Amino acid sequence: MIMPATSTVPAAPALVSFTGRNGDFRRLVVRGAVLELVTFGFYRFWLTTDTRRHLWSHTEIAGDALEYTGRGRELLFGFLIALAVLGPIFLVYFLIGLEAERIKAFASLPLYLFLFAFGQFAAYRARRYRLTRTVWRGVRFWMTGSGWSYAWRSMLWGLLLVPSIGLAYPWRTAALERFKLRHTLYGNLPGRLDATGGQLFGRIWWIWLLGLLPFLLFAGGLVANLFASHPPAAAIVAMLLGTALLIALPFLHAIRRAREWAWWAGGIRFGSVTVTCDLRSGSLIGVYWALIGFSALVFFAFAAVAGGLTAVLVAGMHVRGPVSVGQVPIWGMAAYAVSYLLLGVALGVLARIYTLQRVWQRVVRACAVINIEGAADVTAAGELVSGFGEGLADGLDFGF
Amino acid sequence: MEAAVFFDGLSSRRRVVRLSFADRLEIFGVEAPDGAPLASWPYDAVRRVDGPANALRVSCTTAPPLARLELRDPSARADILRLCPALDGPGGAGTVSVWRIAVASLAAGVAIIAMAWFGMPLLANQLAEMMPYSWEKPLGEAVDGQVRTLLAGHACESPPGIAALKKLVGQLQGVADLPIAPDPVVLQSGVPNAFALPGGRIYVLSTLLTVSQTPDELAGVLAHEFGHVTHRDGLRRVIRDGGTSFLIGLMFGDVTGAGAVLMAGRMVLSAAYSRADEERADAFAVSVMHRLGRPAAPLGSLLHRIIGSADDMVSSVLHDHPLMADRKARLEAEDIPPTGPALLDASEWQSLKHICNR
Repeated sequence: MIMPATSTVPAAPALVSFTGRNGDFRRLVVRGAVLELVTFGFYRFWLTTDTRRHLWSHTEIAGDALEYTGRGRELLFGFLIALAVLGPIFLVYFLIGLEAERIKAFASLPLYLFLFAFGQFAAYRARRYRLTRTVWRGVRFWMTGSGWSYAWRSMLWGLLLVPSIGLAYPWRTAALERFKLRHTLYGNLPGRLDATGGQLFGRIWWIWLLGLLPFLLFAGGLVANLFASHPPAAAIVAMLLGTALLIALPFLHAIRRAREWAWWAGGIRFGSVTVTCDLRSGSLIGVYWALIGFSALVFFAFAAVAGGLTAVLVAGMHVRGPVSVGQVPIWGMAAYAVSYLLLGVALGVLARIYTLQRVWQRVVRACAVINIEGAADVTAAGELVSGFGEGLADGLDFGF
Repeated sequence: MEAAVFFDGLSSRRRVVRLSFADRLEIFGVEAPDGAPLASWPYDAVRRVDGPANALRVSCTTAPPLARLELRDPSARADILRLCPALDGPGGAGTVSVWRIAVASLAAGVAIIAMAWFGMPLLANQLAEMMPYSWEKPLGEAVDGQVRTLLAGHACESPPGIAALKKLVGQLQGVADLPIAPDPVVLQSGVPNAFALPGGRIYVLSTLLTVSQTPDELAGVLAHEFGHVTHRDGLRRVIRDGGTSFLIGLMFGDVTGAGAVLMAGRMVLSAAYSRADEERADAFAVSVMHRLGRPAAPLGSLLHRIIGSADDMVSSVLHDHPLMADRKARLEAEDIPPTGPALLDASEWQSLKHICNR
């Protein structure tokens, strides 16, 4: 257990642990998903909150668990306020788009850029909401900095991504994450990220290169096929290799995510407190394959149900003869809609379990904190902010 | 093992404490057990908050909001559970009533659907009445650009064909008296169709001319589109669809994949609206044709020739137009024998049919 502030013994790294059980989390998200269905989706605010409460309260740093103090109704109010703001913006957006279309068909496409920037702003504000609801040892985290200043940084760096075929990605990620951490505080203890784009590039450059290869090989193979009268062996080899690499993509993605997490978490600093993270590169591979496997299963089940439904409907129409109007009965439409919603809900559950909880669990367990004494007597600071940012993010999510 | 740990909510100091259960809950630091208590909490102000599985974590409504007491020792935990009457009262992290959320959501959902179903058409009608016709122009021009790009067909402009088209439209406009001058254009396309945009632009796709057998058939279609222009159906549809999708999007937010269900819902809704629109446009066409002394039934025959057989295969719930059989029957019921002169003579009709030939 942690020593009082007066201790001068150089402490061993303090443990960061995750004590949540997979079964508990699964029950939580399945129940929430069912409730989402029953409530026209409105339960999502409480499900999101319960998910965070579970993850936070089962994450212990030096023996003391985090606490998430946000509430579902804050998210609901944030969403409603965001709608009041977004409604007129969408209207203006629509009118500007109309004016732009008049000048040239499809000229309004660049306006999507504005909405993307707005989305970045919302993401920053949403992070601020989450941080101010995160409490450890009776002191909350919080955040300064302006959402717009984050948004234009994100946009400018984003412009570099396409011309550099993704090469700018590590530096963009580093710049944005450093911006966020630099404006993050725990009480009066300022945070920062001691990690650079060069370091991230050093960890993932070969994955980036391998990730490009299948597309290059596929394209190469196709081109070779087009120009040769009979497909030369080289083209076939290229296509086969490309296919093999395509199968390897989930592995590569999992490794990249793991290395990125380790890079990010290992760079977190609060005052003299240092986080280390020795997440192994292969530790997320199982998670992503489980996600792929279960998703495939869900899709298969959905296809079977939809196929069966269609067969029943078509059979039913034939019985009524060709003269009758080929009308899909209302119950048929409802059955399609319900099975479609169930598909969405099932995929949502899988995403929450595998891309959220399992990843969280593995990353947290791989972390440790050095010099936790640096946070032994931090004065509380920071004000709560409203759920407006989360509402905006939610609103922009379905809007476009 | 530490029996209890206390955080005062003002700093992150971690204090191992000893509890005294007097008339209030008193919290003493173990380092200075005889000094003044670090905090003294009334039992009825103690609330349960989220904590780790192996501890009971409580806050106090009269203390700083983030002050926390963590009880790891089972006997102390039992004491707190026994002594604090409002552990899950307001201000704590008690569970929310799922029933309340469900009932409120249901009410909100019903209200939103009712607004989409009844409110939006009403609103669209009112707004469309209020907007001057001149405002439709930019809307139409915006859509026009996209239509031209999507159809990619060039406009057919053989001079005799244009003259015949102008004559036909002029006669229709003579009795229809549209507030916006109709602006018909024939586009090269393999789809037999015609449609009106906001602002008076009417597109006739060339295959419709090929399929039409008499000037009355084509005139009926044009008169039907005139009906949409005069009723401002395009404008109302834009307002209605925009508003409905906004309202319905409100509900499902992030239920992944709900988008397609929304689309289906919108299609059913807007199909229901536009059936009424089509019936009104048909009625308008009938009255225009009658005032010209021409029959209305040819419109029905033409439509039946184009979509009649296909109609049985398509879900009628989703289909934009009223059931073909109903429409045809209605047009035939209102038919009159021709009393007025033919709208185009044989050579004009041939020029119009071959407007796309250079």
